[in-house]
Amino acid sequence: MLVQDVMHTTLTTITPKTTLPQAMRLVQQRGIRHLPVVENGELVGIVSDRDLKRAMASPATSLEVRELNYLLDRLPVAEIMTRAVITIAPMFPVEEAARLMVKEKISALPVTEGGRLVGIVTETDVLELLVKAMGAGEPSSRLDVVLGDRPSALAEAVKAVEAAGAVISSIVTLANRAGLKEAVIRVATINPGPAIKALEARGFTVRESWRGQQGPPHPTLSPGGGEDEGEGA
Amino acid sequence: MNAHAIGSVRDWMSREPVTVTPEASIEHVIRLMRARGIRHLLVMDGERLAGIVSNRDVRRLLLGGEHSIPPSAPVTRVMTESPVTVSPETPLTVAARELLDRKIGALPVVEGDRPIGILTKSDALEALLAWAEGPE
Repeated sequence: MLVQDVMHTTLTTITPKTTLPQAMRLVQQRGIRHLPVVENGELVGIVSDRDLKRAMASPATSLEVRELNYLLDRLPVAEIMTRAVITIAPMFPVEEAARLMVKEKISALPVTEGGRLVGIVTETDVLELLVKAMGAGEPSSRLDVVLGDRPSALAEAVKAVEAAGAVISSIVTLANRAGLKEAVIRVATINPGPAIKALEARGFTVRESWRGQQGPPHPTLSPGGGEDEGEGA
Repeated sequence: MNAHAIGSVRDWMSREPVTVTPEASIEHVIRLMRARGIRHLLVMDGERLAGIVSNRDVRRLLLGGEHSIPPSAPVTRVMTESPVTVSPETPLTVAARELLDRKIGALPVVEGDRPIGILTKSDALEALLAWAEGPE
């Protein structure tokens, strides 16, 4: 997935001469947070709603409100825009855009090609994509089930899980360290309790790999030696 | 490809969220957000989570005209009351999905009734990025 696959190409842009109030209105009307500043098709700066707020809320306590408004009405965005814009090219992978946004603490990246603005990609776009890549961020649990060496064990385990009402998303089987077959059954629920109970009722040993962990669990199937011996259906 | 390799909300949330009382003025909230470089604050009524306020909420101040809200007004005027929350054990991917589906920028993280942190879209992005770039 490349930046060009997720970027927005219908853009609201302004020029360096656009005034602060004009820019503010655009931001409010369109509900957007970033306004690329473009001159002759070239990206010359960027203004965020935060920049605008900061400029317009500046405590100029010695000025009267009227005087302040007079000045603000004429202030072009060129005066407050960020000129050193962090951008990305369309052919970069989406993760690169994500990395930049995390590193620079920004929530939108203009996409440029040879200085020309061709699109914009936001934090939300990238987050959406990555969540989808994870399997749509759907509720999901993983059950590590020791099958033993009975040929029908897998079928029985599947029946038990389904009888408990859990929807199976995927199954992987492999042999653990002790040579015993294990099945990694992924179910589409964040509460695998009933499925675990059903499996245990049938004599299966289930290692649930994520609940109660202190930190992000490692994606290993066998949590260290010693626990595999002598177990099985 | 393992959603659990990413961990839970607890692994990625910002702890010790910045809070204000319901009486705090919008002006105070703006200053606080600027000073701490944050975009969300929790509004606490004693022990109770009364609401959440984002920098987008306070943007309303600059509308001007009869619809504008004075900076001295209490934050209750602009905050989101009874916000959606998550538990620290919620898988990060599920919380990320909530943020996207509800189109919100942050979720207060609560243990029972007690807020213990905040999970923002940036936090979620960082988590997913770490997975995407992971050792596998």
